[in-house]
Formats: sequence, structure tokens, C-alpha cells
Amino acid sequence: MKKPYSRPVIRKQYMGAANKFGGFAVPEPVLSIDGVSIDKLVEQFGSPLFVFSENSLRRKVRELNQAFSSRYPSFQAAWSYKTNYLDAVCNVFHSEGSWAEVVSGFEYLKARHNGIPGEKIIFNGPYKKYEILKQAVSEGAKIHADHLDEIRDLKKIAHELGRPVEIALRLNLDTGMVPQWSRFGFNLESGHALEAARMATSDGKLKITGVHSHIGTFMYETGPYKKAAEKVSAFYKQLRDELGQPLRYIDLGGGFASHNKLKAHYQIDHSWLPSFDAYAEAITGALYESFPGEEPPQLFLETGRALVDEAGFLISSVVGNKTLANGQRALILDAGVNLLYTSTWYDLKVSPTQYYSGTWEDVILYGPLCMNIDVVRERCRLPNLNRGEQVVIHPVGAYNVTQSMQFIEMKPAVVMITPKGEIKRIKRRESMEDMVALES
Amino acid sequence: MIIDSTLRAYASILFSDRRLIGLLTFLSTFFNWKAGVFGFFAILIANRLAAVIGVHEDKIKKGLIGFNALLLGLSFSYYYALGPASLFILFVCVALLVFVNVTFDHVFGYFFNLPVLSIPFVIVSTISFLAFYNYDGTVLHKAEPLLIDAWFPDLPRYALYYLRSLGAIFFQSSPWAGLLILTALIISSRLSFLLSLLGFFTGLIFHLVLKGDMNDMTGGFVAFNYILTAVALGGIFLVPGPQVFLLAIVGTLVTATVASFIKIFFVSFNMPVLTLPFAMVTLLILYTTKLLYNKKLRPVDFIPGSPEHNLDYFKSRQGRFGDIGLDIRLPFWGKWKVSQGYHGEHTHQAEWFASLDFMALGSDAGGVRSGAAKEGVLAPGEDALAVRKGASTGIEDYYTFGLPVLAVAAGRVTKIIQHIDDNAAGEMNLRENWGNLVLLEHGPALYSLVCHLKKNSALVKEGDYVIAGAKLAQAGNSGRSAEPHIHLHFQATPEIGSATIPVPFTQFVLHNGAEKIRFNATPAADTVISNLTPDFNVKTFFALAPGQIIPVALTHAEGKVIKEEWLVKIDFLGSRFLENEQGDRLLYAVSNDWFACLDYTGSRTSALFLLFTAYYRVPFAAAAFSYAEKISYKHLVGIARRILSDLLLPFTDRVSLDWYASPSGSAILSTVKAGTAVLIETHAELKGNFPGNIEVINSGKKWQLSRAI
Repeated sequence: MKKPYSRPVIRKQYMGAANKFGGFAVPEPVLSIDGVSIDKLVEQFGSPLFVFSENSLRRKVRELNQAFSSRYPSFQAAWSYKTNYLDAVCNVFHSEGSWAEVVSGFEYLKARHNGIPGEKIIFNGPYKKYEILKQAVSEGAKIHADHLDEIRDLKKIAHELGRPVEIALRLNLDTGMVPQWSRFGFNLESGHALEAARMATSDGKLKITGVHSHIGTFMYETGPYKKAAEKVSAFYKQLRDELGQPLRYIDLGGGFASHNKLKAHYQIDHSWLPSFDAYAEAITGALYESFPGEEPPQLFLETGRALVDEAGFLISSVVGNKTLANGQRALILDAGVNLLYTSTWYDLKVSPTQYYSGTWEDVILYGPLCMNIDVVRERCRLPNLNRGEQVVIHPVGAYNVTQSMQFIEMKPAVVMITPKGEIKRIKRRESMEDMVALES
Repeated sequence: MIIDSTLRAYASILFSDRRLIGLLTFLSTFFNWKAGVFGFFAILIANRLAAVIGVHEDKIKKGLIGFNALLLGLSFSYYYALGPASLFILFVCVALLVFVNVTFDHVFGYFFNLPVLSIPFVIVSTISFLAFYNYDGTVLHKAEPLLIDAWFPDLPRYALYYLRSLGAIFFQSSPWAGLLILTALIISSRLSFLLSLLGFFTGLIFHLVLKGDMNDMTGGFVAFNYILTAVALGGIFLVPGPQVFLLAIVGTLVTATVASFIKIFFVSFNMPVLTLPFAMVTLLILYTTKLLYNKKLRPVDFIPGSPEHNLDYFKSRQGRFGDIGLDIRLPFWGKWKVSQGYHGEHTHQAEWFASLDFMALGSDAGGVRSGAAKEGVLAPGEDALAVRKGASTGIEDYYTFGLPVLAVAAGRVTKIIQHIDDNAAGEMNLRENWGNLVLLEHGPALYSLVCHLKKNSALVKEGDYVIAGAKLAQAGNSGRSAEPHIHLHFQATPEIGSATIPVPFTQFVLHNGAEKIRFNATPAADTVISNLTPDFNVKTFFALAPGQIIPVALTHAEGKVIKEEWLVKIDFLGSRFLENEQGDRLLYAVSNDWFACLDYTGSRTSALFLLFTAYYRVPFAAAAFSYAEKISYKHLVGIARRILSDLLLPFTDRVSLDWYASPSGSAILSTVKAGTAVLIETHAELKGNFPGNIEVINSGKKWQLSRAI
């Protein structure tokens, strides 16, 4: 086939690390996402626009499943709803076999709405409304108790249902990470957890079938997981052997790092982050060692960020160019912290959407809000962009869609690109009618 | 106890353990009433003596001592007249027989895994006759024809010979005795009856064609060997089938030859050949089949019954669970490809044919890694799988490299080699061709070997006892391995390089095409397989504790409600079953990976019976895979069809029924089919407490079974 004609361009070659004036590599522009051009997406759905790659979602979750299920007898991933609970995204994970992990009544109902039966839902979180908690218990959900008042609620439910209720205990523990997370669940080292287990099981109304811990977020080391697996396993055996509880599973939460860049980190590349294989080796190795002479128990993980982050892109357009009083150049985008909650702790990657010649310079990226805090990047090297041209901000798949606010601006549409390259709108742009409907 | 053990001794000679058969044969021995008395007397003495010297009660009860004594007693009528002297000699000889029996039973069983058959009888009978040759105190027997024999209907001559031969087994010359034994034989097993005809007429043709001594056939005192050989080989000690029937014919011909040979010697002492030809040839051929692993010539390595029973047991038990008696799993977790199967073209040949090579599979990243496709064409649900995770060809880039290698079953680590370097991809170490390895001993004469492991990766020590699924080492690329893979085989001896023996896996998931679970099977080359990943929800559902009482309610289509209470029981041998108030029993087994119903005894209208087809097998699998198994027709069809099916089953599987299951959500939909006709449809919801909610549709009628509150 004859190739269509394209105008020749002259591209300046940057030498990267070999440049004697300091390493600087121009980011490759993002011309298309999964074969669909940025122009086409903007033309059809406007700007700003969240774009998700189904390929990327599937690839990631398959990598996770492969890494763990080739090292462990019974591994089950549960999709962390809070990370991204768009139905289309959840259903991709469910179709790959993931259960649901929810942290509120609303998320529980959303998982049920997605057709997930109660017994395949893990119910975490510090606040579980009584009515929903009772529904979840009767539908067989895995309830992870967070505090003593919740245990009292569960006993009440057991009394009302007239049968013992199976629960799991959520733990917080010291894995050597600073700061130590201690607000969720019962503390292990202080003995609170054992005390809670005794209290829960004292009258036979509750039975403990699982132990859960979530040690932190964006964990870029595998050591703490190994430590958590060892400590949780020891507690598991204590409950099973000393308290005679019917323990069956261990849930080590989530927190695996995605290929994003924390502001505090110097490294730009993500090659230093552990792979799923490395996390799997640490966790399954520790579990096997903790259960010598028996098959280690069912393992659940609630990985969210590492599965969805890289699948999400935000296309945004330049709406204005300005020079600040100190001579610093700034760009105003149509997407700001209203859509990019994670820009608070990440230096999100901002890529141009076409090849540019000429010079690149550091700019400040502002969002569209009339608020001083609306800064997407304090410093970002970009070519000279004109009004109406696009940038792609990524990875933004985790948390940004669920945490984005309708504040000053309305929320944008979300599309997903299917493996066949079709564009599927999975959420429409908010309209004036939507806004006023809630107030009527 | 006395009656039971005595009748069983009589029945044993027709390879049966039913008391009715024992009673009929008991009666048949009294056509020559002296033989009957001798025989009966011999059993009583033998059982009593055995009990006094401390032979295990079970052996006596099953008639194992008694039947040789019975034959000895019967044979006395051939030599001696009934009298105090002969009874005294019999007493002494029975004492000798008990010692010979116990000793030979142990020697044959322990060293050769063979039954002793009637060898003790042959030995002691020969001794008893020759020993008293020149004693004057004995009175020799004189033949006196029975009066009633004259009234026997005129039958074709060969039919008469056949009946006489049956009678001759019990030292009876009357055709009436033969007729009674024939009746017992037909009642006990139709297949045995047909095999007896096969044996007799094969021997007859042998004699007719070669113009042999027709006295062997007419009197029947040689010909019964042909009958016994055909029945023993054709259905009692081998699982019936067309090839086994051919073997029975060959065995009969061999018996005829051996009998003619033995006769030359015995005739000079005026002795019959007894059952020696039958016993020698049967043991010889049986031992040979045990040495071979021919699927078509399967020795019965469970407690044998009638041929029908053996075949049914084999198909519904051994066919489902294998004959190793161990739960054998794949030596890895996750999805792997069989890169070389049994009789593989590269190295799985000659004595090492029963070997399997496996390579781990992982995401192909849309075909990018294998170069199969451009990025962006990863179809949902359709797994693009590759053996490598990177585009380069280093051994670390193979998914296999470094993954845990597991014990296929519980065992003891008998040998570890782990000093051999891993090869670069594409290279092979032909000098140390097995590479690094771990050898496990699972039981007597059953070892498993995994090899080509990563250097210094062993996680166990020699002498360690490991559980099934324990991590042994990491997969590597040592020895004759050009790409990282695991080699697995089973062997009967502990030396490295021993001949392999085929051992199927108890279960695995086959991922090619529509994913399904295969039970008791060996995966073929190039298939993608994995272990079952257990779901503890289902496992907990089937956790039945002995002593537990399960109240259930069965609602009939017409609205009638039957209440039953099931008691979970376990007997001293470890058989587990559910029993209702009427004494109906459902035998079941629970493994790490599944629940299975084994057999049912009792009324077919009970609520318990519905469970047999509803939960015939339930794997504790986290994902919903369909599966199918053969199910015995014996509980599910009428008596006429059952007898007909018994006769056809050795030749075709089409008479046996199929049981299909397809789980959906927390429910299992199962159907019992005869060919394409649906007999029973079941919808079982595994919710709440065992047995959940079961809906059965049988010939258009619907029943509902659930836990009674």
C-alpha cells in the first residue's frame, strides 16, 4: 500500500546523558493512545478527556495473576473499587477474574450493581453503615472488622440473623516503614488485635476466618511485605491454634507502586520499582516459610494503583499562555487539580501530542480554577505550545477519576479504547441539567 | 461366623463371596455325598485349627483358608472310602494344609503380590495321596454311579461334558451336580458363565483338532482347568475387556498344553492333575500382566469380585481416581504448557517414555514479546500466552526460570543434586543430562523425579518429609535442557535413570478450547494446563464432620414432603458415608481438591439417593470449569437393562452413562445422560448449609431437596 504523503520535518537531536551540558532528553510526544489519534479523540469528545486503555488494564492484571498464581496455590485478586470505580473499568477486572474490594456502603452497592455476588466482595473500611453491613453479612461478603464498635455491630447482626457470622480482623503492624500506618484496624504489637479477637469470639457469635493488613501505599520496597506476611501469618496461627478459630485466608491489602514519579524521588525512570514478580517472590516466599508442613492459606490482594494507573491518560488543551512577573513562562490548561488530585504528590508526566522543533523551556502548568492552589506541575519542560494545542498527562488511571471534583468546572467525559481499537464512551460529560437535577 | 465362613469357602471356588452361591455349591457337593461330607468336615477342621493357632479372623471369615480345605476334603473322596481312618488322615492333612496355606499366602502375597489360588490344595492333596500309598489301614474308594443320573435328560454330548466338567471342580461326576453348579454360576455372574463356556469349548476344540485324549473332556477331571483359567483370567483377576477375553483363550490353550504335560507324570501315580495346570498358568499370566503397563490388560489390584463387579468398580473407581491411591498434582502453580508429552519425539522414548516436560506461560503483552502481533491487539478473555516475558533470549527472560517446583504428592526426599550449572539458552549439558534434580519416594515402588532445576536452589534436604505441594526447588535450565523447563516422571526404583512408569494426575485443568477439568488423566503434548486453585467456600461447604446430623426435607412434585435425617459416619477402615434412618448409605470421599460420591446402597426413593447424582463430583475450584465423568448404570437403570449392560460393558462404553457438570456462579448444573437421552437433571445451589438447595428433574418429575429447619 502506498503510504500517505507527510511533510518532512527537521527534528533536533538531543543527546541525553551524552550531552556535555547535562543530561536532558526530550520526551517522546504521545501521538495516539492504543492506535487512536489524540486529534480524533478531542474532535469526538472534546477536552479535557480521560482515556483508558483496556489493553493496558488486561495486561497488568494478567501479569499480576501470573506472578502470584505461578508461585502460590490459591491466590485471588480483588479489585480495589476506590482506586477507580467506573463500571467499565471494574468490569474489565471482573472479567479477568478479580473479586471486588469495597470500603463503603456505596461501593458495596456498586459492586453488587456490577453483578458481583456478595461472597466475592471484600468489605473493608472504617465506616460500614449498619443496614449495608447487615446486607453484606447476609449475602456472604468477607467483612473485615476495623474497630470494636463494628465488632459490636456484627454481634448484633449475628443475634438478629440467629447464626454465627464469619469475619476477618484488620491489623496494623510495624513493618519498619515510616510513618507506620496505625489508624486502620487493630494494632498487632500492642496486643490490641489479640484482645479484639478474644472479645469477638468470646460468646461464639462471631467466627474469625481471615486476617487482613494493608501496610501502606506506593510501597517501592518488597521487604515490608515479607515482614507483614510473616507477622500476619504468626497471628493467623495464633488465632487458629490458640483460639480455635476456623481461619482460612490472609489478605495483605494493596499498595504496590505504579510507574509514576513521587515528587520526593529523584529517579525519573521506573525501572527501579519492583516488578509484580518481585512482590510475589517476597510475599509467597514468606507465606510458604510461615506455614511449614502445611499448605499456606488462601491469599487475597487488593492491588489497585499498580493495575490501573498506567492505563489512564488525561488529554488537556492549552487555553492560555502567560509570562509571570519574574519572567517565568506559564501555561493555563483546561484541566487542573479538580481532575488531578494525585498531582499533589506525583510529578505527572506531561507529553506534547505532536513533534515540535525549536527550543524547550521550563514552564509552570496551571489549571483552569480561579484558585491559587491550582498547579498541575511547578516545573515542566515543554516546547512552545499554542492555545488550542493538546498535552497528554499520564499515568492518571488511579484515584483521579474517583477523586476528581465538580468544582468550578464540570467533570469531563471518560472513554475507553477497546483491544480492537474502538472508542467506547464509558462516562458522559456532565451537563447543566445534571447539576441542577440534584438541587430540584 | 461358622456358617458365614463355611459358605464363603464354598462360594470362593466359583470366585464369589455370596452366601447364596455358597449354599448352592454346598448342596451340589452332596450328589457324591461322601465327597460332601469330606469337604464339609475339612472346612470345619481347617477354620477351627486356623482360629486356634491365631490366623486373623478376617481371613477365616472370607473363606480363604476354608476353600483350599474344601478342595482337599473333596479330593479325598477320589482316593479314599469314607471311614474313621480316612477322616483321621484328613484331619492330619488339613493341619498340614493350614500351615502350607498360611505360609504360601504370605510368600505369594508379600513377594509377588499374587493370590495363592489352590496351590496349597494341590501340594497337600498330592502329599496325602502319595504318603499313604503303602499304608494298609486305608480303604480305597470305589466308584458307584448315582441312580438319578439315569434320569438325566438326553443332552448333546458336549453339553453333558461341560456339566461334568463343572461338577468335577467339586469332585462330582453326576451331571445333576454340574447343573446345580451351573445355576449357581449364572446367578453369581453371567460373564463368568460365558467365560466358562469360552474356556470349555476352547479346550474342546484343542482336543478335537489335535486328536487329544478325549477322556480329559468326557470325565471333566482335566477340562475344569480350562473353565477355571478362562473365568479367572477373563474377568476375576483381570478387568474384563475384548483383549482380556482373547488372553483368556490363549491362557486356556496354554493350560491344555500344561495339563497334558502334568498328566504324563501324575497318571503314573494314578492321580488326576487336580487344579495344578489352572493355578500355574493363571499365576504366570497374571504376574506377567502386572509387570506390563498395558491399559488393555489391567490386572485387578483391588479386592476382586465377580467380573461385572470388577469392571464396574474399575470404570467407576479406578477410572475416576486412578490406582495409585495418592492424590497426584502437577508440580507447579499457574498455567504451564506441556512442551513434551509421553512418547515425545525428543527424549521421551524407550524406557523413559512416560515423562512430561513443562514450561510456564505468562502474558504475551499482545503478542509483542513473541513477535506474533503488534501492540494493541490483545483480545479480551482470549489469552495471548508466551513462554518468555522479555524480547531477549536470556534464560531469566523465561517465565519458567526461578518459579517454584513442587512435590506432586507427599513423600520423602531421597536424592538431591544441585551443583550443576544452568545452561545458557540454546545450550545443553549432555554429560549430566538429568541436571539438578529432586527425587521423592511416595511409597513402595513409587518415586517421582523432577529435574533441570536451577543451581543451588533446593529448599529441602535429603531425608526430609514433604507434603503435597511443598516447594522443592526452583525451575532452571541444567542438564539436557536448551530452554528452562521442568521434567517430571515416575519410576519404581530409586536409581537416577530408572525406567519410567506412567502415573496419571488425579486432576488438572485443561485450558485448550473450552476450559475443563480432567480427572485421572495425563496431559497431551502442547496442551496448556494448571492445578485447581482451591476455593475454600466450596471446601467449607463440604466439610462434613462425623457425628453431625443433617436434617433435610424432600418435596415431591405433588407437594408431598418427606423428612429425612442424615448421619455423617466413618467406619474403622476410613470409609466415609452418610446414612439415613432407613440405613441407606451414600459413600463419599473428600480430597484436598474435590468432593466425590463413590457408591450408594439402599432404596432409590430416598432423599439421600438424589445426592448421588447431584454431587457425584464437586471440585473445590475458584473458577467455574465444566467437567464430565462416567457414572455407573447400576443404580440408574432397571434390572433387565442392567443385566444386558453388564454383558456389553466389556466391549463398549456406550452402555455406561455419562455425568456432565457445568458450574455457574455458586450452582452446579449436572445431567446424567445415556447417549444423548437425558435421564436426570440436577440444579444444585451450594448456598447456606450442606446440602444446599437441590432441584432434581427425573423423567419429567421434579423434586426439591433442602436443609430442613
